[in-house]
Amino acid sequence: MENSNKTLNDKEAKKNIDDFLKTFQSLHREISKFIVGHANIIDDVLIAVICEGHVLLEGLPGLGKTALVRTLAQSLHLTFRRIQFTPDLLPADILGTNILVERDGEKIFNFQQGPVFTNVLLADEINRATPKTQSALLETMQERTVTVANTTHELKLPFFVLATQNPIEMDGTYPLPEAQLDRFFFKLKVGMPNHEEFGTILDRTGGLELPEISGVADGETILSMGRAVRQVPIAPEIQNYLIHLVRATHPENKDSSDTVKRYVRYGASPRAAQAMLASSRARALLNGRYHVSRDDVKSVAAPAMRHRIILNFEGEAEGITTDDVINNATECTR
Amino acid sequence: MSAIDQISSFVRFSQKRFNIHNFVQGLSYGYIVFAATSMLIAAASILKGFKVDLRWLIPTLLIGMTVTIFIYLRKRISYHTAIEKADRFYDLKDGLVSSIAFHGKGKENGIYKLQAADTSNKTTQMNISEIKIKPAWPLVRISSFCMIGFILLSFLPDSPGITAKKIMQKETLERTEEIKNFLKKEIDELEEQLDEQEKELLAKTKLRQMVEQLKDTKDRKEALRQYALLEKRIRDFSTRNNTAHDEKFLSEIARELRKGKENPSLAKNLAEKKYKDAAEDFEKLKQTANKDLENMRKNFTPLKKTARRMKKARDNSRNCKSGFCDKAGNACESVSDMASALSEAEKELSENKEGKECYGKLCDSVKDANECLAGMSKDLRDLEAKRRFLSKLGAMRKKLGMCQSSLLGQCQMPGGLKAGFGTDPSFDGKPEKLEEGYLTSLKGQKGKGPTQYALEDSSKGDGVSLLSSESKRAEFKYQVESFVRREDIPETLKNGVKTYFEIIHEETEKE
Repeated sequence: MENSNKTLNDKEAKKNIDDFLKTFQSLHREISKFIVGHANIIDDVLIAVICEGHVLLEGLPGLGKTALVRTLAQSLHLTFRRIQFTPDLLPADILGTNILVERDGEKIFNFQQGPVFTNVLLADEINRATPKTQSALLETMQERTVTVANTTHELKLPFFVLATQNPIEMDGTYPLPEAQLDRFFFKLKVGMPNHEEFGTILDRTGGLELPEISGVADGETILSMGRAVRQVPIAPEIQNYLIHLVRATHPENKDSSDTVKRYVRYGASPRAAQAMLASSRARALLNGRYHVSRDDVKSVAAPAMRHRIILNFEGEAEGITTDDVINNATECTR
Repeated sequence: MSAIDQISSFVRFSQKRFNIHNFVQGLSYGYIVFAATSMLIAAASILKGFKVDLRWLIPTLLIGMTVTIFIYLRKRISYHTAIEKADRFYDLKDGLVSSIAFHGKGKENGIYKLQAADTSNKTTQMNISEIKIKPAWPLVRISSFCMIGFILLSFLPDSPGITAKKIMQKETLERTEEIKNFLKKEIDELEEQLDEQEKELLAKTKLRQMVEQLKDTKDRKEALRQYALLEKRIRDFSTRNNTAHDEKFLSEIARELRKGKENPSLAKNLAEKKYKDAAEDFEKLKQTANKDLENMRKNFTPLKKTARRMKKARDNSRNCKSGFCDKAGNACESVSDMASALSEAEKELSENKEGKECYGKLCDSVKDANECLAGMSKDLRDLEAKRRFLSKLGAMRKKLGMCQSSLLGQCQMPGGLKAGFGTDPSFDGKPEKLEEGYLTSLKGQKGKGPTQYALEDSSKGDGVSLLSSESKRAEFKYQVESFVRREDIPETLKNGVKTYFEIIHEETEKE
């Protein structure tokens, strides 16, 4: 795959896109060896990774969230760290800390890197840590750097956080603050497998041997795939549609639907639009097109916006979900 | 053909196809408007009792065409709209929109070239005829039902009431034409019969202009209104030129003259309203001044006595509105002056005087008296002419009344062929002799039968009836006798009526 940012001619572009598709399919195939079903989740996670975004996976325990992340890391040939978030976890436990060491008879502070210094970070049950600890990830997720004692340490690229959380168990948890949520590229809901998938899961994991996952891509490949995605063009009409769709989630927008005006406190941020644009480009390539369509935008609207929309009290009380709001906005936007 | 040309061509074909479809849709809407409007008009016509007029199809068709054009113009899509519509129709996932947008921005290399080629490739696989050109069938079906309904309703005839009304309108139109022509002809004939004086009077009536202004109309009320207006104008003219006061005063003069024997001819002529003859009698009373006073007095005596009678008649007729009153007064004064002058002349001559001055006075007074007599003669001739004209105008008015009656179907049109102009085809066409015979017959009846004036109204209530009391009395007598002869009247009632009229007769005789 080409590495430069220059405009490619049609043959180079075609080659890049073919490579992208080939690698993507390989990754998908590899992950699917262990993860049963959830094809859309795997696609979305891969899209987020390719777009250098972070993913928040929400689902009940035992649905394979952690397994998915672990498998992904294995298939990518990337360093992988896992942090089990607990209430007593401290920022230093994540980021690292300066420790006093003696070197050549002299006592100096040496920075001990935390688990965040990796390519793939699994933040398991992220909502169990205190907000203070959760906030430790803000800089790393956005800037890909860690600052400790006035010293900024850069993380190795690619870097992405894959966090999980349990939507049911709320005791002793700390809901993620809006600023933190906004830094997640996608929020994916991991659902229950169907009957056949259940059977397959039992077959694959109940025996003596587990499926062997081999690495089919490395960090550089992922970055190159990201560049291939970014060259997919979008027509002004489609971009306008995307903007209208994001703005349609804002209750203060006069063109918004009554549902949005009634149940939404804050709409999706511009980061949501950025995420939608990047991911819809990837979707276009995956669908065999060289341009972004409205359908691509629609397909990524829910994972990109569902964690960025905040419902008001009335919406919460009436059991409205952000997915309902997004569906409504999608229907109302032309 | 380049990829973008292929895409543009595809969009243009699609646009054309979409627009044809939109036109056909508009046609469906126009058709239902046409059919529904026609149906409504047909239903309304039938409910009102009219036969459906097929000429309504023209305006309803125009409305339908207008609706078609309006809807087509509203639904017609532009090239830009056609891009999006074709994109959606062929499920090209915004390929056309994107290709044309990128081309518009001059982005045609690299991935843009791939995109255009991909979209172009997809469009070549699309079939333009998939864009169906079909009308809105439910509307077409409803419209067809409406049209069938319209056609069926159009076979229904007018209701009996409307048929009668139409016949009446047609008849009214024909009648009004006929009446107008008849009136024109009558005026022409009337004019032929009139002398110069009468023609002047006819011109004053403006009758011809009024008849010319009559309109041929289907509306019976309007026609009757026109005739009533015409009749009113004739009546007004007759009222303005009423000669009853003059005639009454002249009758009074005749009555006074009959008391004496000096001028029986004048008395008779005035009584019989032969004013032309009376005018000649007045002419005969003119005097000639000469020195033979005895002879002059002898000739003057009838004039003097006549003047005295006239003066008495004038004294009898107080509040007289006739112009003859003043003229008679003037004549009397002139005659009186002449008498005085004559007396003075005689006195002068008896005194053996030369009497030149007196003779001059006498000549002047004779001249004045003659002028007065001439004036009266002229007025009498005018009165005679006016009477004749009013009589003819009255006849004309009667005919107009008959025309109105004929319009209402109450009688036949007046007129018809003159006597001798029958419908016998063997008639050899020699009307002159027969007409003469008719005139002779008329002359024989003149003055003997009941006059047509008997039917004339007095507009203000101050008119004078010219009906002779004798003829009316005879009519009443006949009516009473026929009443008395009726068998279904009780005897007591008959006796009562007999007694009543006997008493009246007795009292009349006493008077």
